[in-house]
Amino acid sequence: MNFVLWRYDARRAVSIWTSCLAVVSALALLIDGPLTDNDLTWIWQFAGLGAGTLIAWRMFADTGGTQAYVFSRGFSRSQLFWNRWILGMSLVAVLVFWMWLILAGGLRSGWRQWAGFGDAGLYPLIAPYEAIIVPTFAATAWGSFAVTTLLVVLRGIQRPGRVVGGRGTLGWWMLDVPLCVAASVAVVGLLTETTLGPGWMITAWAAVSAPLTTLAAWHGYRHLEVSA
Amino acid sequence: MFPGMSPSAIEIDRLTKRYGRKLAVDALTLEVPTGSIFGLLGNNGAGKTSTIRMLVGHLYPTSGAVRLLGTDLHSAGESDRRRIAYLSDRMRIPGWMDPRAAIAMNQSLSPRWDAPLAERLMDRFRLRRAGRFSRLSLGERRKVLLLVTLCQGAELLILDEPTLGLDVESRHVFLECLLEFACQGDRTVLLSSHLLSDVERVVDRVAMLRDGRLVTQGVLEDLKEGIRKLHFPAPVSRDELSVHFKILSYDGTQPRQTVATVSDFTDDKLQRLVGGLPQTGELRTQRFNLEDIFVALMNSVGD
Repeated sequence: MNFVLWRYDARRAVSIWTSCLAVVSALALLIDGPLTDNDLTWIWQFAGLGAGTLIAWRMFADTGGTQAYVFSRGFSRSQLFWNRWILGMSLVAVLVFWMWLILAGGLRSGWRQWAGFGDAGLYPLIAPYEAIIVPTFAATAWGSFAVTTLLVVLRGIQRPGRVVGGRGTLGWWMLDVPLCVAASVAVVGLLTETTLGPGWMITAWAAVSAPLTTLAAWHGYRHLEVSA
Repeated sequence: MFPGMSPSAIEIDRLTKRYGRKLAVDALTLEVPTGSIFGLLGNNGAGKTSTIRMLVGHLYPTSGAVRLLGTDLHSAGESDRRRIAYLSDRMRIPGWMDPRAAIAMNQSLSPRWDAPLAERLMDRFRLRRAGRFSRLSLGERRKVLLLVTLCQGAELLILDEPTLGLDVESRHVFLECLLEFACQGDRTVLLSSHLLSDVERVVDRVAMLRDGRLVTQGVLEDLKEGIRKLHFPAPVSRDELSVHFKILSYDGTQPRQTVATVSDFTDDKLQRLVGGLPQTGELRTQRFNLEDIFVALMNSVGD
Protein backbone atom coordinates (compact mmCIF):
# COMPACT_ATOMS: atom_id res chain seq x y z
CA MET A 1 0.00 0.00 0.00
CA ASN A 2 1.11 3.49 -0.73
CA PHE A 3 -0.45 5.96 1.68
CA VAL A 4 0.41 9.00 -0.42
CA LEU A 5 -1.57 7.56 -3.29
CA TRP A 6 -4.30 6.45 -0.94
CA ARG A 7 -4.64 9.94 0.47
CA TYR A 8 -4.68 11.40 -3.02
CA ASP A 9 -7.40 9.03 -4.25
CA ALA A 10 -9.42 9.38 -1.06
CA ARG A 11 -9.42 13.14 -1.56
CA ARG A 12 -10.65 12.66 -5.12
CA ALA A 13 -13.45 10.33 -4.05
CA VAL A 14 -14.60 12.13 -0.93
CA SER A 15 -17.37 14.25 -2.50
CA ILE A 16 -18.97 11.36 -4.40
CA TRP A 17 -18.62 9.03 -1.43
CA THR A 18 -20.23 11.58 0.90
CA SER A 19 -23.11 11.96 -1.53
CA CYS A 20 -23.57 8.19 -1.61
CA LEU A 21 -23.51 8.12 2.18
CA ALA A 22 -26.21 10.80 2.33
CA VAL A 23 -28.45 8.98 -0.16
CA VAL A 24 -28.03 5.62 1.57
CA SER A 25 -28.75 7.21 4.95
CA ALA A 26 -31.86 8.94 3.61
CA LEU A 27 -33.15 5.70 2.06
CA ALA A 28 -32.43 3.67 5.17
CA LEU A 29 -34.14 6.17 7.43
CA LEU A 30 -37.11 7.22 5.32
CA ILE A 31 -38.49 4.11 3.58
CA ASP A 32 -41.46 2.70 5.45
CA GLY A 33 -40.92 -0.58 7.24
CA PRO A 34 -40.83 -3.39 7.66
CA LEU A 35 -38.04 -3.94 5.17
CA THR A 36 -37.87 -7.51 3.93
CA ASP A 37 -35.82 -9.39 1.43
CA ASN A 38 -38.71 -9.51 -1.04
CA ASP A 39 -40.29 -6.08 -0.73
CA LEU A 40 -38.57 -3.09 -2.28
CA THR A 41 -35.45 -5.10 -3.03
CA TRP A 42 -34.97 -3.16 -6.26
CA ILE A 43 -34.42 0.07 -4.31
CA TRP A 44 -31.45 -1.45 -2.49
CA GLN A 45 -30.19 -3.02 -5.69
CA PHE A 46 -30.30 0.35 -7.44
CA ALA A 47 -28.73 2.06 -4.44
CA GLY A 48 -25.92 -0.49 -4.41
CA LEU A 49 -25.53 -0.27 -8.17
CA GLY A 50 -25.30 3.52 -8.04
CA ALA A 51 -22.86 3.62 -5.15
CA GLY A 52 -20.57 0.95 -6.59
CA THR A 53 -20.60 2.48 -10.05
CA LEU A 54 -19.90 6.02 -8.88
CA ILE A 55 -17.11 5.05 -6.50
CA ALA A 56 -15.41 2.84 -9.10
CA TRP A 57 -15.71 5.53 -11.74
CA ARG A 58 -14.16 8.09 -9.38
CA MET A 59 -11.36 5.71 -8.45
CA PHE A 60 -10.34 4.59 -11.91
CA ALA A 61 -11.47 7.16 -14.49
CA ASP A 62 -8.70 9.76 -14.62
CA THR A 63 -8.97 12.58 -17.10
CA GLY A 64 -6.18 12.65 -19.70
CA GLY A 65 -3.78 15.23 -18.27
CA THR A 66 -4.34 14.13 -14.68
CA GLN A 67 -3.83 10.51 -15.66
CA ALA A 68 -0.48 11.40 -17.21
CA TYR A 69 0.47 13.14 -13.95
CA VAL A 70 -0.51 10.25 -11.68
CA PHE A 71 0.96 7.58 -13.95
CA SER A 72 4.28 9.47 -13.95
CA ARG A 73 4.73 9.50 -10.17
CA GLY A 74 6.70 6.26 -10.14
CA PHE A 75 3.91 3.80 -9.39
CA SER A 76 3.69 0.49 -11.19
CA ARG A 77 0.40 -0.32 -12.88
CA SER A 78 -0.37 -3.09 -10.41
CA GLN A 79 0.39 -0.78 -7.50
CA LEU A 80 -1.98 1.86 -8.88
CA PHE A 81 -4.69 -0.68 -9.60
CA TRP A 82 -4.66 -2.48 -6.26
CA ASN A 83 -4.31 0.71 -4.22
CA ARG A 84 -7.37 2.06 -5.92
CA TRP A 85 -9.25 -1.20 -5.79
CA ILE A 86 -8.66 -1.67 -2.09
CA LEU A 87 -9.58 1.93 -1.33
CA GLY A 88 -12.74 1.73 -3.47
CA MET A 89 -13.81 -1.55 -1.93
CA SER A 90 -13.13 -0.10 1.52
CA LEU A 91 -15.28 2.93 0.79
CA VAL A 92 -18.09 0.62 -0.32
CA ALA A 93 -17.53 -1.46 2.83
CA VAL A 94 -17.93 1.61 5.02
CA LEU A 95 -21.19 2.42 3.23
CA VAL A 96 -22.39 -1.13 3.85
CA PHE A 97 -21.36 -0.97 7.49
CA TRP A 98 -23.08 2.39 7.89
CA MET A 99 -26.27 0.96 6.41
CA TRP A 100 -26.10 -2.00 8.75
CA LEU A 101 -25.55 0.38 11.66
CA ILE A 102 -28.65 2.35 10.73
CA LEU A 103 -30.84 -0.72 10.34
CA ALA A 104 -29.60 -3.15 12.94
CA GLY A 105 -27.82 -0.73 15.22
CA GLY A 106 -31.00 1.12 16.23
CA LEU A 107 -30.70 4.42 14.33
CA ARG A 108 -33.62 3.70 12.04
CA SER A 109 -35.62 2.24 14.88
CA GLY A 110 -35.06 5.25 17.12
CA TRP A 111 -35.67 7.75 14.34
CA ARG A 112 -38.96 6.24 13.23
CA GLN A 113 -40.25 6.04 16.79
CA TRP A 114 -39.11 9.55 17.63
CA ALA A 115 -40.59 11.06 14.46
CA GLY A 116 -43.84 9.14 14.91
CA PHE A 117 -44.04 7.42 11.55
CA GLY A 118 -46.99 5.07 10.90
CA ASP A 119 -44.84 2.01 11.40
CA ALA A 120 -43.35 3.29 14.67
CA GLY A 121 -45.16 0.62 16.67
CA LEU A 122 -43.16 -2.13 14.96
CA TYR A 123 -39.88 -0.85 16.35
CA PRO A 124 -37.56 -1.82 17.94
CA LEU A 125 -38.96 -5.36 17.58
CA ILE A 126 -38.29 -5.72 13.83
CA ALA A 127 -35.08 -3.71 13.71
CA PRO A 128 -32.62 -6.66 13.66
CA TYR A 129 -34.58 -8.42 10.90
CA GLU A 130 -34.53 -5.43 8.57
CA ALA A 131 -30.78 -5.84 8.19
CA ILE A 132 -31.62 -8.68 5.78
CA ILE A 133 -31.47 -6.16 2.94
CA VAL A 134 -27.83 -5.28 3.70
CA PRO A 135 -26.37 -8.24 1.78
CA THR A 136 -28.40 -7.25 -1.29
CA PHE A 137 -27.05 -3.72 -1.13
CA ALA A 138 -23.50 -4.91 -0.45
CA ALA A 139 -23.47 -7.45 -3.25
CA THR A 140 -24.81 -5.08 -5.89
CA ALA A 141 -22.43 -2.34 -4.74
CA TRP A 142 -19.35 -4.59 -4.83
CA GLY A 143 -20.51 -6.27 -8.03
CA SER A 144 -21.13 -2.99 -9.84
CA PHE A 145 -17.82 -1.66 -8.52
CA ALA A 146 -16.05 -4.59 -10.16
CA VAL A 147 -17.98 -4.31 -13.43
CA THR A 148 -17.52 -0.53 -13.65
CA THR A 149 -13.81 -0.94 -13.02
CA LEU A 150 -13.61 -3.32 -15.94
CA LEU A 151 -15.66 -1.04 -18.19
CA VAL A 152 -13.50 1.99 -17.35
CA VAL A 153 -10.38 -0.03 -18.13
CA LEU A 154 -11.85 -1.35 -21.37
CA ARG A 155 -12.74 2.18 -22.40
CA GLY A 156 -9.09 3.07 -21.88
CA ILE A 157 -7.65 0.24 -23.92
CA GLN A 158 -10.08 0.09 -26.82
CA ARG A 159 -9.58 3.28 -28.68
CA PRO A 160 -10.14 3.10 -32.42
CA GLY A 161 -7.10 1.67 -34.12
CA ARG A 162 -5.17 1.25 -30.91
CA VAL A 163 -4.71 -2.36 -30.06
CA VAL A 164 -3.31 -2.20 -26.60
CA GLY A 165 -2.63 -5.58 -25.10
CA GLY A 166 -5.93 -5.90 -26.87
CA ARG A 167 -6.31 -9.53 -27.72
CA GLY A 168 -5.27 -10.76 -24.30
CA THR A 169 -7.56 -8.36 -22.53
CA LEU A 170 -10.47 -9.04 -24.82
CA GLY A 171 -9.86 -12.71 -24.22
CA TRP A 172 -10.14 -12.17 -20.49
CA TRP A 173 -13.33 -10.18 -20.99
CA MET A 174 -14.87 -12.76 -23.29
CA LEU A 175 -13.98 -15.50 -20.84
CA ASP A 176 -15.17 -13.46 -17.91
CA VAL A 177 -18.75 -12.88 -19.02
CA PRO A 178 -19.77 -16.48 -19.80
CA LEU A 179 -17.97 -17.70 -16.69
CA CYS A 180 -19.88 -15.23 -14.54
CA VAL A 181 -23.18 -16.14 -16.14
CA ALA A 182 -22.59 -19.89 -15.89
CA ALA A 183 -21.41 -19.73 -12.31
CA SER A 184 -24.22 -17.47 -11.20
CA VAL A 185 -26.83 -19.66 -12.92
CA ALA A 186 -25.43 -22.62 -11.04
CA VAL A 187 -25.41 -20.81 -7.72
CA VAL A 188 -28.87 -19.33 -8.23
CA GLY A 189 -30.12 -22.74 -9.27
CA LEU A 190 -28.85 -24.16 -6.00
CA LEU A 191 -30.35 -21.34 -4.00
CA THR A 192 -33.77 -21.55 -5.62
CA GLU A 193 -33.98 -25.06 -4.20
CA THR A 194 -34.21 -23.25 -0.91
CA THR A 195 -36.71 -20.59 0.04
CA LEU A 196 -34.30 -17.69 -0.31
CA GLY A 197 -35.53 -14.59 -2.14
CA PRO A 198 -34.17 -12.58 -5.10
CA GLY A 199 -31.88 -10.52 -2.89
CA TRP A 200 -29.85 -13.62 -2.17
CA MET A 201 -29.73 -14.50 -5.83
CA ILE A 202 -28.20 -11.18 -6.76
CA THR A 203 -25.82 -11.60 -3.86
CA ALA A 204 -24.70 -14.94 -5.21
CA TRP A 205 -24.30 -13.56 -8.72
CA ALA A 206 -22.21 -10.64 -7.54
CA ALA A 207 -20.09 -12.81 -5.30
CA VAL A 208 -19.16 -14.97 -8.25
CA SER A 209 -18.72 -12.28 -10.88
CA ALA A 210 -16.85 -9.68 -8.83
CA PRO A 211 -13.56 -11.60 -8.44
CA LEU A 212 -13.46 -12.69 -12.08
CA THR A 213 -14.29 -9.22 -13.34
CA THR A 214 -11.69 -7.71 -11.05
CA LEU A 215 -8.99 -10.02 -12.41
CA ALA A 216 -9.95 -9.09 -15.97
CA ALA A 217 -9.81 -5.39 -15.05
CA TRP A 218 -6.38 -5.80 -13.45
CA HIS A 219 -5.08 -7.51 -16.57
CA GLY A 220 -6.44 -4.65 -18.67
CA TYR A 221 -5.07 -1.96 -16.37
CA ARG A 222 -1.55 -3.26 -16.83
CA HIS A 223 -1.95 -2.69 -20.56
CA LEU A 224 -3.73 0.64 -20.34
CA GLU A 225 -2.42 3.43 -22.52
CA VAL A 226 -2.31 6.83 -20.88
CA SER A 227 -4.46 9.11 -22.98
CA ALA A 228 -2.42 12.34 -22.77
CA MET B 1 30.65 8.85 -16.48
CA PHE B 2 30.88 6.96 -13.20
CA PRO B 3 32.26 3.40 -13.10
CA GLY B 4 29.61 0.74 -13.64
CA MET B 5 27.19 3.07 -15.39
CA SER B 6 25.67 2.24 -18.74
CA PRO B 7 27.07 4.41 -21.54
CA SER B 8 23.53 5.01 -22.78
CA ALA B 9 20.77 6.35 -20.57
CA ILE B 10 18.21 5.65 -23.29
CA GLU B 11 18.41 2.86 -25.83
CA ILE B 12 15.76 2.74 -28.53
CA ASP B 13 15.82 -0.22 -30.88
CA ARG B 14 13.65 -0.26 -34.03
CA LEU B 15 10.79 1.36 -32.17
CA THR B 16 7.57 1.47 -34.18
CA LYS B 17 4.15 2.80 -33.33
CA ARG B 18 1.03 2.54 -35.47
CA TYR B 19 -2.31 4.19 -34.79
CA GLY B 20 -4.51 2.13 -37.07
CA ARG B 21 -3.17 2.83 -40.53
CA LYS B 22 -1.11 5.82 -39.47
CA LEU B 23 2.53 5.08 -38.86
CA ALA B 24 3.57 7.50 -36.14
CA VAL B 25 7.06 6.17 -35.42
CA ASP B 26 8.89 4.08 -37.97
CA ALA B 27 11.66 1.73 -36.79
CA LEU B 28 13.42 4.42 -34.78
CA THR B 29 16.83 3.46 -33.42
CA LEU B 30 18.55 5.94 -31.16
CA GLU B 31 20.89 6.12 -28.20
CA VAL B 32 21.09 8.92 -25.68
CA PRO B 33 24.45 8.90 -23.89
CA THR B 34 24.51 9.16 -20.12
CA GLY B 35 25.35 12.66 -18.97
CA SER B 36 24.11 14.44 -22.08
CA ILE B 37 21.33 16.92 -22.72
CA PHE B 38 19.69 15.51 -25.80
CA GLY B 39 17.25 17.45 -27.98
CA LEU B 40 14.56 15.47 -29.79
CA LEU B 41 13.28 17.72 -32.55
CA GLY B 42 10.70 17.56 -35.28
CA ASN B 43 7.67 19.29 -36.70
CA ASN B 44 4.16 18.64 -35.43
CA GLY B 45 3.25 15.02 -36.12
CA ALA B 46 6.86 13.94 -36.56
CA GLY B 47 6.52 11.30 -33.83
CA LYS B 48 8.38 13.00 -30.95
CA THR B 49 5.57 12.79 -28.42
CA SER B 50 4.66 9.22 -29.39
CA THR B 51 8.31 8.25 -28.97
CA ILE B 52 8.55 9.94 -25.59
CA ARG B 53 5.29 8.40 -24.40
CA MET B 54 6.57 4.97 -25.36
CA LEU B 55 9.80 5.70 -23.50
CA VAL B 56 7.97 6.43 -20.27
CA GLY B 57 5.58 3.50 -20.65
CA HIS B 58 2.46 5.52 -21.35
CA LEU B 59 2.08 3.99 -24.80
CA TYR B 60 2.87 0.47 -25.91
CA PRO B 61 5.08 0.10 -28.98
CA THR B 62 3.70 -1.78 -31.94
CA SER B 63 7.17 -3.30 -32.21
CA GLY B 64 10.70 -2.58 -31.09
CA ALA B 65 12.19 -2.10 -27.65
CA VAL B 66 13.14 0.66 -25.28
CA ARG B 67 15.45 0.62 -22.30
CA LEU B 68 15.83 3.47 -19.86
CA LEU B 69 18.79 3.40 -17.47
CA GLY B 70 19.20 -0.23 -18.42
CA THR B 71 15.64 -1.31 -17.57
CA ASP B 72 12.39 -1.86 -19.44
CA LEU B 73 10.00 0.59 -17.82
CA HIS B 74 6.90 -1.50 -18.56
CA SER B 75 8.11 -4.19 -16.20
CA ALA B 76 10.12 -1.93 -13.88
CA GLY B 77 9.44 -1.71 -10.17
CA GLU B 78 8.90 1.39 -8.06
CA SER B 79 12.58 2.08 -7.37
CA ASP B 80 13.54 1.97 -11.06
CA ARG B 81 10.63 4.17 -12.04
CA ARG B 82 11.63 6.80 -9.47
CA ARG B 83 14.98 7.20 -11.24
CA ILE B 84 13.13 8.81 -14.11
CA ALA B 85 11.17 12.06 -14.08
CA TYR B 86 8.79 12.94 -16.89
CA LEU B 87 6.97 16.12 -17.80
CA SER B 88 4.72 16.61 -20.81
CA ASP B 89 2.85 19.61 -22.14
CA ARG B 90 -0.46 17.86 -21.56
CA MET B 91 0.19 16.86 -17.97
CA ARG B 92 -2.14 18.39 -15.38
CA ILE B 93 -2.11 18.43 -11.62
CA PRO B 94 -5.70 17.88 -10.41
CA GLY B 95 -7.59 21.14 -10.08
CA TRP B 96 -8.52 20.61 -6.43
CA MET B 97 -4.86 20.46 -5.33
CA ASP B 98 -2.84 23.50 -4.41
CA PRO B 99 0.91 23.92 -5.01
CA ARG B 100 1.72 23.10 -1.38
CA ALA B 101 -0.18 19.80 -1.56
CA ALA B 102 1.33 18.91 -4.95
CA ILE B 103 4.85 19.56 -3.70
CA ALA B 104 4.22 17.65 -0.47
CA MET B 105 2.85 14.70 -2.44
CA ASN B 106 5.88 14.55 -4.73
CA GLN B 107 8.28 15.07 -1.85
CA SER B 108 6.85 12.11 0.03
CA LEU B 109 7.08 9.97 -3.11
CA SER B 110 10.68 10.89 -3.92
CA PRO B 111 13.37 9.50 -1.59
CA ARG B 112 15.99 11.78 -3.20
CA TRP B 113 13.86 14.93 -3.17
CA ASP B 114 16.02 18.04 -3.55
CA ALA B 115 14.50 20.31 -0.89
CA PRO B 116 17.00 23.21 -1.26
CA LEU B 117 16.36 23.32 -5.01
CA ALA B 118 12.63 23.27 -4.38
CA GLU B 119 12.93 26.27 -2.06
CA ARG B 120 15.13 28.09 -4.56
CA LEU B 121 12.71 27.45 -7.40
CA MET B 122 9.76 28.55 -5.30
CA ASP B 123 11.50 31.90 -4.89
CA ARG B 124 12.82 32.26 -8.41
CA PHE B 125 9.53 31.24 -10.03
CA ARG B 126 7.71 33.49 -7.51
CA LEU B 127 5.28 30.68 -6.84
CA ARG B 128 2.30 30.99 -4.56
CA ARG B 129 1.93 28.03 -2.23
CA ALA B 130 -1.82 28.38 -1.81
CA GLY B 131 -4.62 28.53 -4.34
CA ARG B 132 -6.23 25.67 -6.20
CA PHE B 133 -4.70 24.65 -9.51
CA SER B 134 -8.00 25.21 -11.25
CA ARG B 135 -7.59 28.92 -10.37
CA LEU B 136 -3.93 29.27 -11.30
CA SER B 137 -2.75 30.57 -14.66
CA LEU B 138 -1.24 28.20 -17.22
CA GLY B 139 2.24 29.55 -16.47
CA GLU B 140 1.88 29.07 -12.73
CA ARG B 141 0.67 25.50 -13.22
CA ARG B 142 3.63 24.77 -15.48
CA LYS B 143 6.05 26.20 -12.92
CA VAL B 144 4.77 23.84 -10.24
CA LEU B 145 5.04 20.89 -12.62
CA LEU B 146 8.58 21.92 -13.52
CA LEU B 147 9.49 22.25 -9.87
CA VAL B 148 8.20 18.83 -8.89
CA THR B 149 9.90 17.27 -11.93
CA LEU B 150 13.28 18.91 -11.38
CA CYS B 151 13.35 18.27 -7.64
CA GLN B 152 12.58 14.54 -7.74
CA GLY B 153 16.28 13.70 -7.66
CA ALA B 154 15.87 11.63 -10.81
CA GLU B 155 18.80 10.43 -12.89
CA LEU B 156 16.96 10.91 -16.16
CA LEU B 157 14.68 13.81 -17.05
CA ILE B 158 12.32 13.40 -20.00
CA LEU B 159 10.74 16.71 -20.90
CA ASP B 160 8.19 17.21 -23.68
CA GLU B 161 7.56 20.92 -24.35
CA PRO B 162 8.48 21.86 -20.78
CA THR B 163 8.48 25.62 -21.28
CA LEU B 164 5.02 25.86 -22.79
CA GLY B 165 3.25 28.86 -21.25
CA LEU B 166 6.27 30.09 -19.29
CA ASP B 167 7.33 33.73 -19.26
CA VAL B 168 10.82 34.67 -20.47
CA GLU B 169 12.33 34.99 -16.99
CA SER B 170 11.00 31.62 -15.86
CA ARG B 171 12.28 30.00 -19.02
CA HIS B 172 15.75 31.33 -18.22
CA VAL B 173 15.54 29.96 -14.68
CA PHE B 174 14.45 26.60 -16.03
CA LEU B 175 17.27 26.43 -18.57
CA GLU B 176 19.81 27.30 -15.87
CA CYS B 177 18.43 24.49 -13.74
CA LEU B 178 18.70 22.06 -16.63
CA LEU B 179 22.36 22.96 -17.10
CA GLU B 180 23.02 22.61 -13.37
CA PHE B 181 21.24 19.26 -13.43
CA ALA B 182 23.32 17.95 -16.33
CA CYS B 183 26.55 19.24 -14.80
CA GLN B 184 26.19 16.63 -12.07
CA GLY B 185 27.72 14.22 -14.56
CA ASP B 186 25.61 11.12 -14.26
CA ARG B 187 22.35 12.92 -15.05
CA THR B 188 20.75 12.85 -18.48
CA VAL B 189 18.07 15.02 -20.03
CA LEU B 190 15.91 14.27 -23.07
CA LEU B 191 14.28 17.50 -24.17
CA SER B 192 11.70 18.02 -26.88
CA SER B 193 10.64 21.55 -27.73
CA HIS B 194 9.69 23.72 -30.66
CA LEU B 195 11.58 26.64 -29.08
CA LEU B 196 14.83 25.85 -30.83
CA SER B 197 16.63 28.89 -29.44
CA ASP B 198 16.09 27.42 -25.96
CA VAL B 199 17.11 23.97 -27.10
CA GLU B 200 20.27 25.31 -28.69
CA ARG B 201 21.30 26.99 -25.46
CA VAL B 202 21.36 23.78 -23.46
CA VAL B 203 21.66 20.64 -25.59
CA ASP B 204 24.88 18.98 -26.64
CA ARG B 205 23.27 16.40 -28.95
CA VAL B 206 20.19 16.39 -31.13
CA ALA B 207 18.08 14.01 -33.17
CA MET B 208 15.58 15.19 -35.75
CA LEU B 209 12.51 13.26 -36.78
CA ARG B 210 10.33 13.63 -39.83
CA ASP B 211 7.23 11.50 -40.45
CA GLY B 212 8.29 9.14 -37.68
CA ARG B 213 11.72 8.53 -39.16
CA LEU B 214 15.10 9.68 -37.99
CA VAL B 215 16.51 12.38 -40.29
CA THR B 216 19.72 13.00 -38.46
CA GLN B 217 21.33 12.70 -35.06
CA GLY B 218 24.62 13.71 -33.58
CA VAL B 219 26.61 16.21 -31.59
CA LEU B 220 25.17 19.68 -32.09
CA GLU B 221 28.54 21.29 -32.73
CA ASP B 222 29.35 18.67 -35.39
CA LEU B 223 26.03 19.35 -37.08
CA LYS B 224 26.70 23.07 -37.01
CA GLU B 225 30.14 22.48 -38.42
CA GLY B 226 28.92 20.16 -41.15
CA ILE B 227 25.99 22.14 -42.52
CA ARG B 228 26.75 25.34 -44.39
CA LYS B 229 25.16 27.68 -46.84
CA LEU B 230 27.53 28.38 -49.75
CA HIS B 231 27.26 31.52 -51.89
CA PHE B 232 29.25 31.09 -55.13
CA PRO B 233 29.84 34.21 -57.26
CA ALA B 234 29.53 32.03 -60.36
CA PRO B 235 27.28 29.32 -61.79
CA VAL B 236 28.06 25.96 -60.19
CA SER B 237 26.12 22.95 -61.33
CA ARG B 238 24.36 20.60 -58.93
CA ASP B 239 26.50 17.77 -60.28
CA GLU B 240 29.73 19.60 -59.50
CA LEU B 241 28.54 20.26 -55.97
CA SER B 242 27.28 16.75 -55.36
CA VAL B 243 30.72 15.32 -56.07
CA HIS B 244 31.91 16.88 -52.79
CA PHE B 245 28.84 17.48 -50.61
CA LYS B 246 25.39 16.19 -49.85
CA ILE B 247 23.08 18.92 -51.14
CA LEU B 248 20.19 19.95 -48.90
CA SER B 249 18.98 22.81 -51.10
CA TYR B 250 20.17 24.30 -54.36
CA ASP B 251 19.40 27.54 -56.17
CA GLY B 252 21.12 27.91 -59.52
CA THR B 253 18.57 30.21 -61.11
CA GLN B 254 20.67 33.40 -60.83
CA PRO B 255 23.01 33.98 -63.82
CA ARG B 256 26.01 35.06 -61.75
CA GLN B 257 25.39 33.40 -58.42
CA THR B 258 24.71 29.95 -57.01
CA VAL B 259 23.43 29.37 -53.51
CA ALA B 260 23.39 25.92 -51.97
CA THR B 261 22.98 24.44 -48.51
CA VAL B 262 25.14 21.40 -48.01
CA SER B 263 25.92 18.86 -45.35
CA ASP B 264 29.20 16.95 -44.87
CA PHE B 265 30.98 20.29 -45.13
CA THR B 266 34.72 20.49 -44.51
CA ASP B 267 37.23 23.15 -45.53
CA ASP B 268 39.23 20.55 -47.46
CA LYS B 269 36.26 19.58 -49.59
CA LEU B 270 35.51 23.22 -50.26
CA GLN B 271 39.08 23.90 -51.30
CA ARG B 272 38.95 20.97 -53.72
CA LEU B 273 35.70 22.25 -55.19
CA VAL B 274 36.91 25.84 -55.49
CA GLY B 275 40.16 24.67 -57.09
CA GLY B 276 38.21 23.45 -60.08
CA LEU B 277 36.13 26.62 -60.52
CA PRO B 278 37.00 29.86 -62.36
CA GLN B 279 37.96 32.66 -59.91
CA THR B 280 35.31 35.35 -60.40
CA GLY B 281 34.80 36.79 -56.94
CA GLU B 282 34.53 36.06 -53.25
CA LEU B 283 33.00 32.78 -52.10
CA ARG B 284 31.03 33.11 -48.88
CA THR B 285 30.18 30.34 -46.45
CA GLN B 286 27.47 30.86 -43.87
CA ARG B 287 27.20 28.92 -40.61
CA PHE B 288 23.75 27.94 -39.40
CA ASN B 289 22.20 28.05 -35.99
CA LEU B 290 20.04 25.13 -34.84
CA GLU B 291 16.86 26.62 -36.22
CA ASP B 292 18.42 27.11 -39.67
CA ILE B 293 19.78 23.57 -39.60
CA PHE B 294 16.38 22.23 -38.61
CA VAL B 295 14.58 24.08 -41.41
CA ALA B 296 17.24 23.08 -43.94
CA LEU B 297 17.02 19.41 -43.02
CA MET B 298 13.23 19.34 -42.88
CA ASN B 299 12.95 20.97 -46.30
CA SER B 300 15.87 19.14 -47.82
CA VAL B 301 15.62 17.46 -51.22
CA GLY B 302 15.55 13.71 -51.39
CA ASP B 303 12.52 13.42 -49.13
